[in-house]
Amino acid sequence: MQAAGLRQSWGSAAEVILAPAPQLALYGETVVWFHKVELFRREEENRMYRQTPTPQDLALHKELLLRLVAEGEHLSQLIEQQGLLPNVEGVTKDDVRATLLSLQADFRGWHQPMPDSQRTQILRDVFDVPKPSH
Amino acid sequence: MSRNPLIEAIHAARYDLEGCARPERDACLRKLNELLRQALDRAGSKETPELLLDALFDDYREFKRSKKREEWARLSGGKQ
Repeated sequence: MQAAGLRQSWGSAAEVILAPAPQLALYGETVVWFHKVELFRREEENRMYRQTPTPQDLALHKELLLRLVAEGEHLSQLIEQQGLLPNVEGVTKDDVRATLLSLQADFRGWHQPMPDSQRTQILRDVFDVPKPSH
Repeated sequence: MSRNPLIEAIHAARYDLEGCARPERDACLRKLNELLRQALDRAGSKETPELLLDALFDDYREFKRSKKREEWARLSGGKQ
């Protein structure tokens, strides 16, 4: 069997272990970023949903989200340039992007709220209700 | 006011996107975007899916809170 074929048959183990250092580093940073997002979500649940967040909670939530978004944008740019190593988990660059978009949407919702008049207008236009019932 | 099934579906899709497994995120985002697009097209609206998502955020926050309450109650054996 040719070397390339043999490596392929070893799947992501060979891909990751033998990958060039920059690609491996990028993969590692991506895994760490996902882990940070999950830590954030867990604590967000406790501080922002289980209780009414204090002004200090809101300020730190904003700071943490900003950092996660900035890191996610940077990673996404690098992944666009270098690609993401095939991995046993099956995570792709599109999964990174989707996670980033979710964080960005949450940032806007919590920290850049839409003016009431605009919200009312959009909801009336789209759903024919001024405000949903939750 | 009665619940709007499409709003509920959008909230559920957003909730799934936050909590689904890493390799499922792209599929969850696609589903969310399809529902937002469906709502806009049905109304003939020229707004963007992103703006509609933002307009629904306050309601989504309450949706998420109620989903979490159900989970917390389940985890604590219905004591909450």
